[in-house]
Order: sequence, then structure tokens, then C-alpha cells
Amino acid sequence: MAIVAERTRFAGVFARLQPYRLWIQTAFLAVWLAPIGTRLHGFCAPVFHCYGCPLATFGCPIGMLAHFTTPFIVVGMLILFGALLGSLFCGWACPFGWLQDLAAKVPTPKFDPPRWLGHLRFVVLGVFVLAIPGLFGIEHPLSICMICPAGALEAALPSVLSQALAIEQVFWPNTLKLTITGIFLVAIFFIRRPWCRVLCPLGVILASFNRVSGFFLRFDRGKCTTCGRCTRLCKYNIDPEQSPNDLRCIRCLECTRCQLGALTPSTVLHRRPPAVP
Amino acid sequence: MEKQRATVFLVLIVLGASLLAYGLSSTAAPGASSQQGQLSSASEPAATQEVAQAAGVQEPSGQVQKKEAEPTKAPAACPT
Repeated sequence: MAIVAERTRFAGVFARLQPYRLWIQTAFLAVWLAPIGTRLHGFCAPVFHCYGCPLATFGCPIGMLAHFTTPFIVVGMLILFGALLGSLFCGWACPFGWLQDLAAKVPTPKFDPPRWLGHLRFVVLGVFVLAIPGLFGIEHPLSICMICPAGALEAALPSVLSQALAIEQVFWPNTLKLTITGIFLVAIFFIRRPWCRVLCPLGVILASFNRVSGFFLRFDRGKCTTCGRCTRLCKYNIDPEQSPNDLRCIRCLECTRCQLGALTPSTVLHRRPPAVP
Repeated sequence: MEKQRATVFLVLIVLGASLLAYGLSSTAAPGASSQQGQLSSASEPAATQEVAQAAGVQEPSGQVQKKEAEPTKAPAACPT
């Protein structure tokens, strides 16, 4: 009984925080944007934030994977964060996700990309993050840092602005990067989190741990009335009732607003309560 | 199912912590020296720091080649 009460308290914390998720994401910017000039580029944070940004506190894990042949710290850190929380950082802390969530607040018609497009994230990870930089070097025009829209918005844009303001020669990013960034900037108003759902290589690494992570979504079939509310609450075209720890889930925890308590955040420390006869 | 999850979780935590500890204690750029054109840093965090500042790139041989004269400065412009 004590275990059940503890699990309820744990789920209750997230239930209280859930309505303020966008504010929590905003608050995390204070961590990622080096508010007091802290620069810890030797370490990576499990979020998609370009280290070329003039305000970046940490290094970008994807950039580091592309740059190094044996990045033990980055791989170790990704495994640790993935094993502990899965893709929870994507939904609650990632600054690039925050930008997309903010754009999604604009009342425009929203479209869902086909589910299979989510597998493109593996292609991006395998080809543009690992294969091309590994085989041809980071300066290859198709390596991730050369085409990344986060790099364009967080690093190149401030750079171009500062060059323009200083009346110096302006160095524009390459055409492919500008094109991808342009498409991204249009897409975020019509698709919820297009980068995260279709292309994000970091998201696919972290979400790959969702099924085995210490923090996970527990589905209690006994409490479910198959009303479909959780499916309607999910903005990312996932059916939480069928797959609560889906590979495409960013763990925004919207689905846990199911009032019957069939879907609750839980951890490996909280055992499943005994079934009610 | 719960036991399986807990077991895999523990294995991953140990693996991740081991890799992190190894990375922190090992050298990312074997053979890197203070010679011209190479980064002076030997540890992975330091090498990462310098790469993050658009100061160098790691070659397939594992050596990190220096590209700028002052790698300790913050990036003045986007590296790409």
C-alpha cells in the first residue's frame, strides 16, 4: 500500500508540473544559455543546442559525435541520460524543442507527418552524423554541422548579425543549410515539432531508451476504459494506450492527463501495484 | 517484465558510467602534443572544449588538428 501511495505522489508531482511545461522549458534556457558566462564546452548536455551559439553553456552531443572518432564522454553521457530518463529531456528541457513548441502556439492549421517518417531520424544519425563525418571529415558539405538548422539559428544567425552590425564582411551559411533552415522555419508553424519527429538524431538516440529507461510511462489496463482520451491528448500521433513508451514519444506527458489514472509516470523503483480483483 | 527493465536499466547505467569515467580519465587525441598544428590538450574534455570552440577537428588517425591560433577563446563566429 505504501508503494502505491508513493507512486501516486510521484505521478502527482508531474501532474502538477504538466500545465507549466512550456514555462519549465523556458526556465531551462537559463541553464543552456550561459547566463553568467559559464562555458563548459568540454561536456555535453542531452539537448539539441549548437555549441557555436555565442551563449552555449555546453557542447552539442551530436556535434561531438560527428567530430570525434571515439567520444567516450558523449556516448557514456547519452547512455546515462537515456537509461535514466529516456526522451524526457526532449519534452521538458530541449531549447530547440522549446522553439518549436512556441511556434506551435500560433493558431495555424496543423498537420501530422506520416508515422514512418520518424525512421528518417535513424538515417540522419547514421548517414549525416556518423558515416559522412567519419568517412569524409566534418567539413564535408553534407556532415550534420553543415546542414543543421539549430546551427543556423543559434550560431550562424548571431554571427551574421554581429558581422552586419560591425559593418564587416558577412559570411553566410551555405545554401543547403539556409534552405533546410527556411523549410524548418515554415514547417514549425504547420507541424508540431517537425525536427524532433522527423529528423532529430539526438531525439532518436534518447527515445531508443524509452522502453528500458528508469523513468517510464506505466499503463494500467485495469483502469483503462478505452475511451481514447489519451490518444486525443497526444499531439504527436502516438497511441499511448498501445505503446506508452513509444520510440516517437518526446515524453511531454500530456497523455498522463487521463483522469482515470491509467497512464502514469513511474520509475523502476516503483513496483506495479497488485491488480484489483 | 519489470525485472527485465530493471536489469537492462542497471546494465546501461553501469555501461554509461564506465564510458564516462574512461573518457574523463583517458586521452582523446593519442599522440597529440604541443607541436604546431596540434592541440595541446590531451584529455577528452579539453579536446572537446577546443573542438567546440571551432579550434580543431579530429582526423581519422585520432589526432586532433588545430585550426586556429588561440583555441581558448570563445568562438567569434559560426564554425560552419
